[in-house]
Amino acid sequence: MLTFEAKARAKDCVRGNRVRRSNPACVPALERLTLQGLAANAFAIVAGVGTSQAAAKRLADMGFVRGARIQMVRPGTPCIVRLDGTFVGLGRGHQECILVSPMETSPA
Amino acid sequence: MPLALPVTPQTRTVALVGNPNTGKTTLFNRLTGFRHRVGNYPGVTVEKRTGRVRGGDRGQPLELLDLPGAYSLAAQGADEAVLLDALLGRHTDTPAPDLIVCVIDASNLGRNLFFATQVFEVGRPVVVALNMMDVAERRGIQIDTDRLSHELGVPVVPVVATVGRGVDRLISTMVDSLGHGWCDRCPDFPACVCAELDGLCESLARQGNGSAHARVEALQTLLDPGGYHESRLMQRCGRGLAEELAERRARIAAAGESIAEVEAKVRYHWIDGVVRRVLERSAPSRSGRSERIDRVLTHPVIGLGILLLLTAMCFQSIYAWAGPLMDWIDSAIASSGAWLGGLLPDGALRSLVVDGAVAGVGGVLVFLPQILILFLFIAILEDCGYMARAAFLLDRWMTRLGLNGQAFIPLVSSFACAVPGIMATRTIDDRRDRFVTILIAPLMSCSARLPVYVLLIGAFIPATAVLGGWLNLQAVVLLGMYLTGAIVAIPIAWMLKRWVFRGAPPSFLMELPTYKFPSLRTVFHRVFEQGRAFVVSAGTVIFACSIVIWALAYYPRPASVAANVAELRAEEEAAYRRKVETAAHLLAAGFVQESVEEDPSVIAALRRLEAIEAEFDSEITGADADAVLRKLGRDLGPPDEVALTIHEARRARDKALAELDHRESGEYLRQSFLGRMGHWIEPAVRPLGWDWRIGTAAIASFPAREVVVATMGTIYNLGGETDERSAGLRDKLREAKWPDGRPVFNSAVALSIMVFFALCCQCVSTLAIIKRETQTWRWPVVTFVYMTALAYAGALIAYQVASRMI
Repeated sequence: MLTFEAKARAKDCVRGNRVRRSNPACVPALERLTLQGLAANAFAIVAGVGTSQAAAKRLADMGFVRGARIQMVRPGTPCIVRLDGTFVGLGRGHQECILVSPMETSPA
Repeated sequence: MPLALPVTPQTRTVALVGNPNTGKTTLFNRLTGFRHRVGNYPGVTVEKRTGRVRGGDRGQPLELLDLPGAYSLAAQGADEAVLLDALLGRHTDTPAPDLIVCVIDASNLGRNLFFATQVFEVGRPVVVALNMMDVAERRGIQIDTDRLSHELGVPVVPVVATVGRGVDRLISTMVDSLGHGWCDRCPDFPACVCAELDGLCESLARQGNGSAHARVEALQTLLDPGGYHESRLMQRCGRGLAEELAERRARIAAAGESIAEVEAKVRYHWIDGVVRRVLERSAPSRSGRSERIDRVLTHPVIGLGILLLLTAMCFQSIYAWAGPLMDWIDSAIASSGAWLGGLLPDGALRSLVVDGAVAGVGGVLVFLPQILILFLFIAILEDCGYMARAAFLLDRWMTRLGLNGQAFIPLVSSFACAVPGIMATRTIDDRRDRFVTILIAPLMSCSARLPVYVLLIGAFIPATAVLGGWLNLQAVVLLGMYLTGAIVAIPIAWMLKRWVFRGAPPSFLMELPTYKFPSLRTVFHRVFEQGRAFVVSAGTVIFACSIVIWALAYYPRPASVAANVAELRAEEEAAYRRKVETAAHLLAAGFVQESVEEDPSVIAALRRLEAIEAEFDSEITGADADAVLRKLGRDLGPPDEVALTIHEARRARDKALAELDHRESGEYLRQSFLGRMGHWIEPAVRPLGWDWRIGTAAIASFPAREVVVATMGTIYNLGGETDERSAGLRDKLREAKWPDGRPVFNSAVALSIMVFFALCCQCVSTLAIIKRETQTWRWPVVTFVYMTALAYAGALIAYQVASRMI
């Protein structure tokens, strides 16, 4: 469950990115956030990497592809994300690139 | 039985590739048994390691090539470009590999297979080495290797490189796979991408840029805008290609595929299918040990505290441990210089060997302990996986300077010595960030600047208490000198990043590898390699430069100086003789006048005098005659009186001769090429408050800034054997005068010299390392020019401001 604080932060951080905001009651959450909006230990599914940034292809090649499951291990800038058993540190430029749909619970 | 084939099969090349942190280098070391050569790739900095191994029934010789790790063939950093060029056989000195061994981390199969599927398309036989099987098993991951081999269409060998399990089977599989076909089971791209890819291949071939690997290259060119492949082809094809690529990409985008994501989408989709069929998870993945450690070590506050503590510990031990070793090396060099000097006749050859070669090379070797200790720390921290965390923690702070988090370790290392600091920048992925770091690293106040600070602060900065007695002004000035470089580096980094190495704002992307216990073998091997590289590369350059500076300061040695000094020496000798003879004549009718010094009673009296001197630990002069008298317990006889006179006269002569020696070397230096240069540049250094001698010392200290102390000693007629503690040099500096009688030195001049040395790049080793790391002379030249300009400006401001304030 996303905390209120995380949502507030997401609002601040997402800025220029196209973010579709939906009713919080809607389950599963369909919100699209960048990585900066994810709270500690939250799970999410990658919705895509931005197309304009040079980092996009590198991120995609590293496994941040649509449908990949990630977990926020340490939020902030830079952050640490668990991706398929590995831990990846991402700075601001890369964080802003990755769009995710938060998941309600752990993917078992 | 068939006839045996020719006994010496041809050597085949095998390239080792894989993602970073898959144990590639450990496997390489296992395969080659640490017997390998290290070199650099032509045109880039990345180290190239090759080793030999024999395998199979016929002892097929294989040349193994350890290539840098990469996540994708879409090259980003210098090391990835190297990997690609090596795989495609573009390096002139290394043939295209006959076989590729793709090392895969079994505990992270999916991500590793992405790069593997790209490697399959290169069109060479591939063997997959499934490494870290033990880690995977511990995490409850079972991989059906036969099934995987079947799915991929290449041999798959499970190995555990850390203990050497499966290595023999890997070697025999490598030999068996030579000359086989390559993998043709690759994921299919959507039709729109295939069409554009075919079109691009065709048009490249038409322009004469087709190659055996055209398709691999074309794919990465098409899908990686602004990447290595595109810029490489653009250099040869020009604008036409840019337009063509833009059109083709637009068509792919119009068909609904994302340029950045399509390759990942296609490959990971294919890989997911393979992984589902071969991999079984017996236990759900849960938070491991690494994650628990990271909860503390990557904490923004606690983690940063631990990092600072570790850094402090590292520097403390560099100073504490390197000190005795450095003293030992220093004295070993000094005694070997003295020994060599004793073997050679006085003259140019002896000076060349002792002052040029031994002193020059010794100056470098002294730093070896610091470098080895620093690299021991770096190797341990890197091997256990901490370095990635350190970079992560500091990224937040370093991005504010326009630098990457990975720049922290090199910059901190540079406070000990810029040479290992610059070598440590190899860990920075982004080439531009790496070059910015290399260019500002020499601004950090290294240990070689300390002698200069100590000498000048001791001589010209009063030890008054400041801040209500909390601090000593001398300590404040020393701290200020250390801060000068670090503070100046901030705007320089910002400007370099903004104007010279323009690029996206630095962002951090780094896998944080699982923590492991550092392998002693790897760590010591690494330290040894770095130490050897340092001695060989920096040693050769500083050797050459020391010889050049020595020659400039030694020649032309005009004969008039020697003649002049010889005349003065003869005068001193004659004066001494006159004194002795007069004394003998006046006092002792009983001596053999021609050789009063050989008279037994005089010799005995001289011995007694020397014994008394040794006992009182002071020099005896005529005024002390009473004391001598009492000591002897009797009247001073004529032999004692004569001995006293001889003694005094000898001392005066020796002093005068030593003074003459200094004047001679000082005069030679004044007349040498270096001295003439000093006079020539005097107008340029006048605004800094310097006279020609300081200017000359600054030029002569070009090979290494600590040389300036010895050079000033020579120039101020004291001879070269001066160190910063010598009160003599301090006094000489205080006494030095301009022709009009004003003293040369005051605190403003001292400050100006210190600021100059804080900011200048007077260090050939640093320049040589920059050349080696950037593979071009351009950056060492740029570094030298900008730092010298900065140093001049800084010294000018320091002098002009300080001389008006003080």
